[in-house]
Amino acid sequence: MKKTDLTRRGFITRGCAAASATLAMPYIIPSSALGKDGVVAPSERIIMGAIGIGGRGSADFRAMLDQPDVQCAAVCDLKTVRLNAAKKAADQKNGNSKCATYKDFRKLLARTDIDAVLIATGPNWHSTLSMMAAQSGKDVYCEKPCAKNIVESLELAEVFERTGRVFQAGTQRRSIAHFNFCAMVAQTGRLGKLTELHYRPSRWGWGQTGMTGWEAEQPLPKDPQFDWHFYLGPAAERPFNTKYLRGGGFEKGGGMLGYGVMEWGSHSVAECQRANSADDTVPVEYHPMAKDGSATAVHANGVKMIVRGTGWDEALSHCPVRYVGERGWVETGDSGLVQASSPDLIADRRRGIRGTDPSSHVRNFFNCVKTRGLTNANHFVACHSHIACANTCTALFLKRKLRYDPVKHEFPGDEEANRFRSEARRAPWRV
Amino acid sequence: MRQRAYLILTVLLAASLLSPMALLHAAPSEAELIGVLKSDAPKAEKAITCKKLAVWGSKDAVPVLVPLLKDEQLASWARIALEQIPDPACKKGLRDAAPGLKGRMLIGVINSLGVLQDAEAVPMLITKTADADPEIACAAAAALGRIGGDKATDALVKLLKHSNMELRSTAAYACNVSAEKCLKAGNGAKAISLYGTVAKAEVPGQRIREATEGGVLARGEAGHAMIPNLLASKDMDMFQVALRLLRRVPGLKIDDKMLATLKALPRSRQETALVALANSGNSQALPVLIDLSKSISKEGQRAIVSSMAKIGNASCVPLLAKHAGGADPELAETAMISLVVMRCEGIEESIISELKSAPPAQCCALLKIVDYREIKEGLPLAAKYVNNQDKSVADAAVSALAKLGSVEHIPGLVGLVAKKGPDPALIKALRTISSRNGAKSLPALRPLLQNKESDIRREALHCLASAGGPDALAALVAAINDKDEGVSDQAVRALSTWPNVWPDDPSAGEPLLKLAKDGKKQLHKVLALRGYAEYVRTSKKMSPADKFTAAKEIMKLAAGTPEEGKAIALLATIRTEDSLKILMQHTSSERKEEAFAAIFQLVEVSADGIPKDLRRQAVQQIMEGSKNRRLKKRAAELLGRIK
Repeated sequence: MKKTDLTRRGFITRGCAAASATLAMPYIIPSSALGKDGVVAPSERIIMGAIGIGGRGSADFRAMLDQPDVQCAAVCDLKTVRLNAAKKAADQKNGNSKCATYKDFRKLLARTDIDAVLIATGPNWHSTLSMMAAQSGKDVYCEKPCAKNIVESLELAEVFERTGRVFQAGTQRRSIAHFNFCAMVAQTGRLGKLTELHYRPSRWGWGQTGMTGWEAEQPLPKDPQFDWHFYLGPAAERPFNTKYLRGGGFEKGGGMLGYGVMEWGSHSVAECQRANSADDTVPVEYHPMAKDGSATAVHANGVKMIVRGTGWDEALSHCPVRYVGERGWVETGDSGLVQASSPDLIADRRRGIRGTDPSSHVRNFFNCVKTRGLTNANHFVACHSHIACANTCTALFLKRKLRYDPVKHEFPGDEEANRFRSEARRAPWRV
Repeated sequence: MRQRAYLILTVLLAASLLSPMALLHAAPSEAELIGVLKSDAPKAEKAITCKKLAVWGSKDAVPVLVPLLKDEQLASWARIALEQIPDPACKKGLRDAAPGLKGRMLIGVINSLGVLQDAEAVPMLITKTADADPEIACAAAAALGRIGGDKATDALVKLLKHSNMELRSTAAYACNVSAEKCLKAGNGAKAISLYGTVAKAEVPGQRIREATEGGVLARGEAGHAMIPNLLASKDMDMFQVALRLLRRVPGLKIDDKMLATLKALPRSRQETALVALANSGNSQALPVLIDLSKSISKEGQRAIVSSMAKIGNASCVPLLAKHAGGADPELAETAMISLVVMRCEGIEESIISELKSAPPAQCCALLKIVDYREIKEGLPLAAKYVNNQDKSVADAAVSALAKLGSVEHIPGLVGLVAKKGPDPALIKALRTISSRNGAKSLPALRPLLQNKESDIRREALHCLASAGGPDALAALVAAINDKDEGVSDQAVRALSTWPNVWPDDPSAGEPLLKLAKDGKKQLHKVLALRGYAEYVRTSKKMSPADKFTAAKEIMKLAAGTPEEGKAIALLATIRTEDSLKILMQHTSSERKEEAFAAIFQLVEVSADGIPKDLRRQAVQQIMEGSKNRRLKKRAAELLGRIK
């Protein structure tokens, strides 16, 4: 006789709310070192610079200026209006007018008084610029997507490990309470053995795999200081067209790929990887789009990572994730809503912040700048989550199943897929 | 002629030439792609063609790609292909092209030779490090670092004395990259030498930090002795290098020198160093962490306690138990998590050992750990602690028993209920154990049924329902006649929810129907009717015809009562023509909207076996009679589909 499961609980159902913080935030440091106990001594201040301060970058920048132990000494942007606005905000915080402005980021990176930089340029620049900043001795908070392909992802991890600089990917959900909570529920075995990790990078277009090509030439913007060469950065040469200024899908992919999973997937995949305690690896199998409109990647431990655009509770809002185990499931999204197959699974949930506020992620970054610790979205996390995104994108593009070796970081015996591993940077840019 | 060739190619590629995006998604033959590059095609198409050759090209494409290296607009596109095509012809093509190039285009080729690690390019690259253009010289130095080898590194070491700081810095970075390659190739001595040379050079501090860290790591265990000096350094940069090394060095031994250094550090540095050590994953650091954590701030202690989740072993249990039962709630919570998450031999034995003599607060925390970790060996202690005078300890013990206990623990809990009354935690534990052990629990539960206190008898009925089985059901039915009205009502409630708890048990149907017909109280009849409707709905053994007959019976019993709606809803789940006809008869009753909704559900989802005409007629009724606009709209759509 079969009965319904009235009372049998999963694993831990009480008293473990802080696991999210513990498991997800490896570094807890004394508040005296964080400037929380009043005036911060100049020697304890972190001097930062910001490169690319429009759109998402301005939200990150504001969160950084709000930190009591952080002082912004320089800003850099190709767009004069943005540059002036950022300088004004920094000067206001500093109580002077000394914040320097640059069009050429190399001048900012050459300054030896700057400890850390925010990189929130167009995604085309993210990885190359992050690595150049690390090489010049700066710690880096970089907006996502942080790399365009497998090799860039590996180089990013390698360069930050070699230089010893601190890296934080702008995947701030790694520091947001309700996402942390759900990861903890999965990591501590409360769901039983994990079986599936579901995510939706964006409502529309996640299955697209294209990238921008060569649009017809248009006149340069009116801003006389706008430099197309700098804007284009390491992307292959092409004439100016206003379409490229809109961000969107501009060169986010590697080789031929971009957009879709390569864009917002860097958030959601990083979440799923964490739930699977798999920040140090990537799935070994990637399937093309299935008839139901989903695409599945499979980890070596058998856990499936499924990207799907439909079937979500819209109350979860953007970037929803669902973790499924043998004993139940839990899901969350940007709305802050946390849902589960059984209320017991989330009974100890504490109310957390909602939405995409980067403050706690930014704080985690600056804590690690001081302790030299690993951030919540460090270079290893970014490397593996971006490779998983790139590989998903490759399977979608080639419309066939791919197998991947997460140690050698190649598709064994699959030359066609392997040729998507990297893309030459336009000169003179290199790392 | 060339234009004509292009036109032909355009026709061949018509589908894919509509846009660059479309082009990318197609895979034409290499010959066609080479043809595009040879033709007068616009640069936009040539550019995308280069990208396609990066995936589908071979050495045959190299002769048409190399000339593009001179083209300011297409050079970067050609390099994309030349870096991807796995053939030595690409390296040769790049090498051969270099002498004829200047400026950025030359830098691009140098960068590509570095990426391809072309050892044959080393002599040319060494020459280029002396180029008057510092960008070219730096690019060449960086490429030499990627390629490595004695000749390349010798040249790089010489550059460390160059007058140009940027070139010195680039060469130093390249030396560090080469040193890593040497180390991977098993040439540790060369790696140490390179790191040492860079660390002493007049190069930016960043290069020196990299070389210092690399030098310690390259030395393996011999390098560990250098870490205390770095930790004690007054230079903040070197202290930070030490912090990273504490985290990065696998199995770092904490010898006397290291211990003395850690103890002598100023408090803020000591705390940061301990936290770095705690996050290293190095269990050898545990004794020093346990020892020194006593004298640092609570935040520092919390970081260390948190790290024990990963590196902790049985030796940490006493400290964690102390914190778990301590007064600081954050520290207590962190310690609890570490106790739950730690995976190491002997942990559970150590938890049991601590539990034997722990003071109440710790005892309570450890009993929760027994519960969370499902430590069966902790059951005897939990059974003992259920009688503890401290209520929090007793509750934690009851909770652990609920999670792990078996039938043998029921008598003890039953005795406690008889003594203390129907405490919710005790009842919950009894229900959980009974639910897990089924009918075997019944003999041990019976004393509760015979208790003279009616509130205990009431709770006993729920325990019986959790256990299930024919004897439990019979006991429930018998309890309906209990002299106490509250017990009688509770028995009916437990019986009415039996089909929810035991959906596969067919034996509840008969007593439920009997009670629905002959119940002494209206409440009993209503609850029984609901239970019977649920029984019919979920039954897997009843045929649709049997279900229809039962539903008609329910309709009859519910006529004119609020329960009629339940019967209508039940009919919507029975896929028969007769069900639909009965529902259609109700569309003129007071419950017509419920009937319309049920009809829609039946016709939309369960259409098999029901004639199309009847389905159409039923949907038509919804459209004509319902006041629910949304339902009418959906009905109109459904009608279209049926047609």
